[in-house]
Amino acid sequence: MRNYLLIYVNGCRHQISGERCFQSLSDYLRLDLGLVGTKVVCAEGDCGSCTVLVGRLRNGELKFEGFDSCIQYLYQLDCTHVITVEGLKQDDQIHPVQRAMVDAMGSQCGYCTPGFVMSMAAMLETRETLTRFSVQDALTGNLCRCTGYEQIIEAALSLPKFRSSSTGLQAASKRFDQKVMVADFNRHALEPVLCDYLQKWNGVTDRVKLFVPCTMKEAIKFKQKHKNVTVVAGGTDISVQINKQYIEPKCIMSLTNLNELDFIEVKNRKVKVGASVTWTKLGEFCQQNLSELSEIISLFASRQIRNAGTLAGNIANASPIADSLPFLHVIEAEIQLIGNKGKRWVNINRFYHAYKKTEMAPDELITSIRWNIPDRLDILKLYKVSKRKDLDISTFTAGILLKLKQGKIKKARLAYGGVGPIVLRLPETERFLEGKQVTKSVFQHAGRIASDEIFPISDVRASIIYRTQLAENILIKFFHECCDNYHDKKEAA
Amino acid sequence: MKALARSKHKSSAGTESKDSSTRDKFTSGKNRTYSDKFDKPGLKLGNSKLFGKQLPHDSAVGHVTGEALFVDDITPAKNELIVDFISSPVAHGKIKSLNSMELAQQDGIAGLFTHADIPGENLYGPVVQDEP
Repeated sequence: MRNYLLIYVNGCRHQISGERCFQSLSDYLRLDLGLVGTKVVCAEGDCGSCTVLVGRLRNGELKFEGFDSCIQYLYQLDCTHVITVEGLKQDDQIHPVQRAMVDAMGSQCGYCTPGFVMSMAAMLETRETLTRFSVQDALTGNLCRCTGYEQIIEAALSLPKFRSSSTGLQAASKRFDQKVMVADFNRHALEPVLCDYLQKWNGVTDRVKLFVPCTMKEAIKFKQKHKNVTVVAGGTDISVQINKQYIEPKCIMSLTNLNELDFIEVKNRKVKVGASVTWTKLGEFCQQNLSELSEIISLFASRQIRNAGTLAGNIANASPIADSLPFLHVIEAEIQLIGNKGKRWVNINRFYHAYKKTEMAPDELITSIRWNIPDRLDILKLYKVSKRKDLDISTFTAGILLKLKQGKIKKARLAYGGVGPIVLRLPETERFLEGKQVTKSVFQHAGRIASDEIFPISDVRASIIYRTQLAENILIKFFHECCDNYHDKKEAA
Repeated sequence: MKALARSKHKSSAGTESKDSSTRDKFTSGKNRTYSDKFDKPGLKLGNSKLFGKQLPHDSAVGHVTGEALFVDDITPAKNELIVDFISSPVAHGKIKSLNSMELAQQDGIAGLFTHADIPGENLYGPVVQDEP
């Protein structure tokens, strides 16, 4: 057992223990290390001003991705190498990404600029092709309110010209000797971390505790012993709540070193996804296998968030507007829970009891999620309605899965999110649809039934009336998008 | 200048001849840029060192390297004095009286200032001066 976290920042080794483990990376960089180039604006992972590169050990080498440092707490970053905007400069030579931004007039007030620079640097890490589309996607998680995006996109698109220049177009991480770090991480990643300190505030003393397990066994044992534990993986919601002072966890378990859960398996059209798999990894997988889910993932937050957040976190967080849930409900996904009494599989449709209340026992953890890939002829459609298209919290979500046979609906599965305290399946509507012909009037009728089956509320995102109407209309939209030419298609075939 | 640069970039994927034709359209047709309008032979502004050229932003290098210091980047010192406002919990109301004596006597409060401490005119505003 060690009592410190190991983090490299711009090639320098840092051992962090005690109270200092419980701060966000952006605070650590700015206040402890004085690296103030990393800016903080929103402190909730929306604006991207705090973007840094984080390199994690994957298959024996460090894989770098962009992260929002304001919602990455140090306990999520054990055994990583962090590269900040200060780390791009080498021997008084600025990095091509920085040169491109200067040349294209990509900064005005300059406060968002380091974040944009780091997001572009992240693109070089994965050697992505620089097209207008990929650049826009990579910069979705960075907001600028004065320079204007056009110059910034131009800067990113001008990067290939540096390939032939004297500096070359080298990924920032290549400037650091990784061998030493990898060896150091390999040594440390097999040892669990336990840190704590006494927090004294207003006459009350609390022992604040942190545990970073290396195996599932250690994790379950700790969770069973500490009933008040907050389990953190990507932390994209928990860290926001800490930053906004909604919660103040006194006992934290970080799953960052649980590498055994970072897997995606496909066997006989069954997909099994480990609990540590991030949205980025799942998105890449779905591109070939599940284009409908891949589309929803591309709208899910920004790259910085997708690099951190996990599918299991989305499920355990139990938000009724979690973007993955309508899909998992209609596909009848199963969640594997592991606890003291062993393993068990729970169908997601029986996983949620009430708002933020789940089937999980206090000692249990999610280890993986599995589902059957839909048949080629099944129609699967997922919807996300939000005020902005990208990087927004959903107002309403829907998943629709139809099995058709000879022009009739053989099986229908519908799930709506954002219309009740949990994601709802619509049994009445499903029953109505089964056996019916695929026609517009059927879906119009189904829409009316669906709007009676839900319990929406009015909140900051939408009113009851809007959500009820949406619940009805989405089925008509679905008909036009997916079934309108169904009969024509069949005749042609 | 910028419009030209962009059209060049866009067509780089296409053929060279297509590139030159789109550029001709820009300079001879109605889509002339702002600087073209002034760049008449008599004026010779095209030879100017400044006109029609992008001047680098003085702070650009500081911005992209994160070396430019903003107010928030000044590291907080230990025991530094924090100045903050205390506002009314009621958004729309009239302040009838202030009872600040109790607060001023508490530990760690270095000073407490109200409107009464500002001599002379204590309202401002761009047109109607009604903001405290």
